[in-house]
Amino acid sequence: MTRVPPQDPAAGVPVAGAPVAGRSRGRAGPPIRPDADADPDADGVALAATTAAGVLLGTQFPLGAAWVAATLCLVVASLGVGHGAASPPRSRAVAGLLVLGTLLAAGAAAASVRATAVRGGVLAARVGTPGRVELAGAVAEEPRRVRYGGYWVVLTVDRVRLAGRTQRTRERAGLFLGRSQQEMLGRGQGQGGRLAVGERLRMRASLAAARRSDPLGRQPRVVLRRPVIEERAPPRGGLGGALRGSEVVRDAARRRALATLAPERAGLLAGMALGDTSLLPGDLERDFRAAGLTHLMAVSGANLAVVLGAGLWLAGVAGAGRRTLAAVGVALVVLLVVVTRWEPSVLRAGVMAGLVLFGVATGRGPGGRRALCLAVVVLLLADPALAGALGFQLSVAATAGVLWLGPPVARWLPDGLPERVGTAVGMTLGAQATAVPALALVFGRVSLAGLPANLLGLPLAGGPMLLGVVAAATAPVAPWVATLACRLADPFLVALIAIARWAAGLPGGSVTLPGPVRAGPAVAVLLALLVVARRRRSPYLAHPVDPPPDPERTVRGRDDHRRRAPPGGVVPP
Amino acid sequence: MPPPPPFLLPQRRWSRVSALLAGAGRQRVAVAILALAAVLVAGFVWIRATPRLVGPGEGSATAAGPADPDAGAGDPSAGQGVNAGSAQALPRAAPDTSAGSSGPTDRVAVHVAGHVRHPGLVRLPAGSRVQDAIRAAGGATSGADLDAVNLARKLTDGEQVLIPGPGDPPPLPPDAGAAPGTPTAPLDLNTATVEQLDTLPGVGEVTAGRIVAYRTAHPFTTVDELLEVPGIGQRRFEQLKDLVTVT
Repeated sequence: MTRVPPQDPAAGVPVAGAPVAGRSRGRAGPPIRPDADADPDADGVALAATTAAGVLLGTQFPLGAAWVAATLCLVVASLGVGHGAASPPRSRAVAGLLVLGTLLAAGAAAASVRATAVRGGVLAARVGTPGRVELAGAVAEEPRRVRYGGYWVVLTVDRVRLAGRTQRTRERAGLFLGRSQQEMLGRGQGQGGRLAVGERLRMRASLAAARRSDPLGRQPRVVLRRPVIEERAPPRGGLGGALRGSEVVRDAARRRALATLAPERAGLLAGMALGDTSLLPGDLERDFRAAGLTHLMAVSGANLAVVLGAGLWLAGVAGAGRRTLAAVGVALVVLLVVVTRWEPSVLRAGVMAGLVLFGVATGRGPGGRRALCLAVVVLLLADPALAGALGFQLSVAATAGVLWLGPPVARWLPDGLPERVGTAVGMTLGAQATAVPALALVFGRVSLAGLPANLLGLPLAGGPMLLGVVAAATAPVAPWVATLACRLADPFLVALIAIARWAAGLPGGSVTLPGPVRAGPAVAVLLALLVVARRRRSPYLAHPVDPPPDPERTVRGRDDHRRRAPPGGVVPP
Repeated sequence: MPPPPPFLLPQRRWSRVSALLAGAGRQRVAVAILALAAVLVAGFVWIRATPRLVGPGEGSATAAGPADPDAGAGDPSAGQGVNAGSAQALPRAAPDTSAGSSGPTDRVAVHVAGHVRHPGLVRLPAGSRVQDAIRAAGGATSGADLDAVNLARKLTDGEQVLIPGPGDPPPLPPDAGAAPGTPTAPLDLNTATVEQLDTLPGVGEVTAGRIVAYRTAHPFTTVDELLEVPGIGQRRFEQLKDLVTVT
């Protein structure tokens, strides 16, 4: 992580940190006493939390049309209410509440419409009826390796043939491909039958209800059992070309890594750069999990941060202007999102980075914290099912930890530390403070070894992440560059594997919490935060009492850091 | 706007709420656009997810649906459109014959021999009956003994249909005299006896009994329903699927 410039947009350290703190000051109206809850980004948090609440509400009460109507009414109402700096606080509060209401209703509308569509699926209705169904669909996400050498594949089914009639539909269904079915797939294929995202399959199967599913259909409700695959075809449609191209890149990178490195390191590199964990040996995967380094072996927001940081630094060195920088950044984000198959955490980081880059281009945009909140709003409205994706939840929790807890933690560290090290440690501890309780709540497991492992491992992770992406980008065109990148990444990988093995072997490294104790870490962290907030009224504002606003200074500071933000430079505190 | 009456709500409270929501209030145009976009996207998702029949016009354009030979019963153009479309848009990636023989899009080639006007190879749409094969071979001769042949049986690719004359011995049951390697008429899963099923490779008495038990519960409609019978896994199914049929 030391490689990440601390002001990097997607790593999320507030690019607009200084002006954000000044935001509530320069406003006309009655002076606002900074309360304990006067986090200047509280409104952003309110927006994100309201949207999430709306999604939950819509999932629980799927009243599709009613929610849509409510959304439209609230949109009209909130646009109609007068609101300005001069208006009384009451009408400003009403306008704010209307906006929140709109988001609540919109989240509920999106989720309830999705839930209704999922429940009304042809396949879902057919579960339990004996007999075979013929269907066609496209692979929706990267097939996941499961036990016994099989793969779990999620299809987006778009055609179903029942009782002699073909129906068009769109629903997700999962299937387990055992060895023999993979052999069937691989017959006559060059690449050993590996299924890629977007490939189309036509098959016959019988239907069963999935053991675990979520109402918004991210985890399919229907499992296709005993599939007989009849046809396999490459991706088609508008996205098909991009998918085929990125599959070429992924395949070339995999081969290059396997040809250059020892298998377990090749597997780790493929995981860190592309999110492709299929080459990781099972025992290494277990060790990483036990060491609390799971986020390293798959792609995460940190990948995007590293790649974006390096790319923008290069562009900055080459003398690109603000807009060129933003364009380069957006192109990098889109490429990485497609090549890593839009993992929820990469999506989160991508939207966030996009918002911050928009700020870089226009000189006006959200800071890191606000960008996270807006990214959550945008993504949940676009795909409410993300709310149920563990990768998304963890990613948001960890980023929030980095953004809100990182800076104060870094301030508490002993003064002797170099600033970069302090920032990195603060970010790591902040992320751990939110990610560990979240993981404990979901899995009931706490990795005590996670803290030392992350402190040691994170600084090393940037290297392979960046070199892996370089290797992937060059593998199809200049294999020798890719080989070189793999060799350069090798020492990092050796060290990471050693750290994971060491941390996993620590006594009491991983503790399993029973039942209600799972909430323990979350409660502990909350209590600690409350105590801290009580002791210092506001840990976020350096000056609890407002100094008179100094527009000159604010504007200069803002401009200054914006101009220098991505390529280098340190945000003036 | 007049200030709210003090007994209703103290002013301080509003100012605190408005301070909290200040940003939210300022972003309301963006939020309104977002909310409308979310509703539109949700509507789009809903429209695409709503199941509906593939109409006659869109069959060939959208392609890649499950192939559909019998859809022609109700609407010939729809069925043909889907067939043609999927055959073009989904080139067989794996050039294996097994997928071909079970793929409903194909035509079958059968050798019609014996007492027909023009014995030889005929090609017919999949799903054709023995009667169609005889007709395609110019029809049976006057001496043919059509009672010895099941005219209603569905044809499978690569088989030989022998039309016996009055003096010929009755055709042997498929399990008795067939030389290995020659495609014979496959067993019909819905009518074969336990003894006949027993002769299939890898199927013993127990599995044959299970097949019969399964079909009494729900008769077979496709060959791959064999996979639903306990004791028949993917590998055994691969061996069996060319040796059995469902009419």
